[in-house]
Amino acid sequence: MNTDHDLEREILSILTETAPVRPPEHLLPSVISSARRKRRWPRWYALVKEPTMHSDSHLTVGSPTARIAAVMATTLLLALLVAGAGIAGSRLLAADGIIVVDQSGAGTVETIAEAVAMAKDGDTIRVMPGTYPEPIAIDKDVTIEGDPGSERDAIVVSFTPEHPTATTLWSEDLPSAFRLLDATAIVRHLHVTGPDHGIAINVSGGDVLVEDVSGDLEGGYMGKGRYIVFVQDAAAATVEDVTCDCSIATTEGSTLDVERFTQSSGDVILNINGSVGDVRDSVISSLLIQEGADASVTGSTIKNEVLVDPGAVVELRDNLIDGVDNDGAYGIRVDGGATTLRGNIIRGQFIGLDIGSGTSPIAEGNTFEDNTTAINVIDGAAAVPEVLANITGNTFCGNATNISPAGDLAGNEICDADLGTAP
Amino acid sequence: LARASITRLYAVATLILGDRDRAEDAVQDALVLAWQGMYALRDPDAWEAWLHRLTVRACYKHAKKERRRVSVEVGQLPDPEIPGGADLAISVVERDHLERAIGTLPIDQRAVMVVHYYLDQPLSKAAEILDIPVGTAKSRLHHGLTTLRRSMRDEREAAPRRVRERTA
Repeated sequence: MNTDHDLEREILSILTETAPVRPPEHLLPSVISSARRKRRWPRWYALVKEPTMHSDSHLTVGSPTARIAAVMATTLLLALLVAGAGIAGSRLLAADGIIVVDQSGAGTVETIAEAVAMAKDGDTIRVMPGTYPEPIAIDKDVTIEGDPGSERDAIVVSFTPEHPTATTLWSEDLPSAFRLLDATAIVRHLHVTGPDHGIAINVSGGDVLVEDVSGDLEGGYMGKGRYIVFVQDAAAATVEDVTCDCSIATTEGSTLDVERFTQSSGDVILNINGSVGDVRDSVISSLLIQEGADASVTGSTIKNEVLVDPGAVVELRDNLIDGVDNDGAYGIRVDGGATTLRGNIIRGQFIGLDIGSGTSPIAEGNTFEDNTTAINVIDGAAAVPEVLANITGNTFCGNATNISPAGDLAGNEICDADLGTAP
Repeated sequence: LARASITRLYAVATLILGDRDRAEDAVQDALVLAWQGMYALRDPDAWEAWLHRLTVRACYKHAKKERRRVSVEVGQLPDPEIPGGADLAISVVERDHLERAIGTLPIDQRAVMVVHYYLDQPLSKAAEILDIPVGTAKSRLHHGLTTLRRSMRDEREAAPRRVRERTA
């Protein structure tokens, strides 16, 4: 320990190691119990009680001038309250920017709907653990977040078929937990449960971030009918760290950006007529990219199939399209549009890449392995040379049939000749 | 809110007070005060720093109470057993000595160290949390480090002598 730096490092090390890892279990209940026995200070009392602040400090509640002003303002406020200011009055009493929702009564309000009603643009609505069975419509630029100190799944927003509905792509009228209406909003760190068929977060216009949200939704076929996020009316949605056995869907003119979405079944649908969708680092059951979509999927695992409809523009890069759970079906079906495949691994499929009539995807640097048929060209032998012109630099290993009908795969690396005949 | 902060506050209070029971009391006081006054906090971004300030203040209060009640300082602990070779032994002894030396610093100096090093706050922020001018924070940190350096130097001079005596 020769230098000041060594000494400081050693001090930090000792402090870190000496500090208790967690408080005794009884401490938090004891704090809550003490708090409940005490009255919360009114604002004017807090202003007077706190010691004088420094001119550049933000930690205390007012300089002398601010205190006088605050006391006068508080007096006026109290008068307003007495006059029956109601909700507006209680809003003014709330902490600047943070409204705490707690069913136990220890927060600002007890329901999310009340918090939304009193919130103004820029506010944060912090939801404490509990189950909140209420419809939530948000038309303000607010953040709704579960208490960061609590487990995500302890903050539950639930909804029922009686909640207000929205119409989806397939003309279903589905109830929803959250309706975000032209809002620039954030929904974060909570769990949503719903009935058979429904939408957890319905984004209608606006620009929304959905982050660290999980869902427990039921019903629908292949994910249609149960959505964790449904984006429509030219909205923009960013979805990060979301887990759900259900779908995400966009409609015409909307934008969807997905990162680290984990989906055990159902479809992720990047859809339709001009939507832009980017998916990264996710685990997806199926991907349906429909007419007019402009989508990219990168670094993800796709457990069932990717279906590209005519009129879509799609780039699939560095994904694993794995047929292990796919029960011998298609890896990628390209029925039209402009599809580019680069650096993907397509394996264990009945058909790895199924190329539809009149289309010719670009496939470069991919690996096709252990498929029954790596590439199948629907239009038959006459179309194979044209299709193969766009298929270069790929690796074919362990496929029963590398291409059907047969063709010259020059420009690609072939580990082994066809191992068998396609059924 | 309390659940989000309680672990860190308890760690800070324990490090400042060196006593877990009093740390519990200090954290409880701080969080109840925070609950009572939270609606008046001007800047929500300052919430964490404000909690730290309340905790440090509560620590001072409990330390003062304790001084009134107990007038005898805890004596120096016996030297630990020395495992292994001489080099390792000196390192272990030095570290142990430093830990005990931190524990004997005045609470004002220890509080600056905890906020500055453990909470990783620059001295300007640490001063704000401790409710003292920046110059005072720098001075307390300087005195604390000087005390520790002096203590370590004394220990370094004494340690080989002790090792020789034990191995003789």
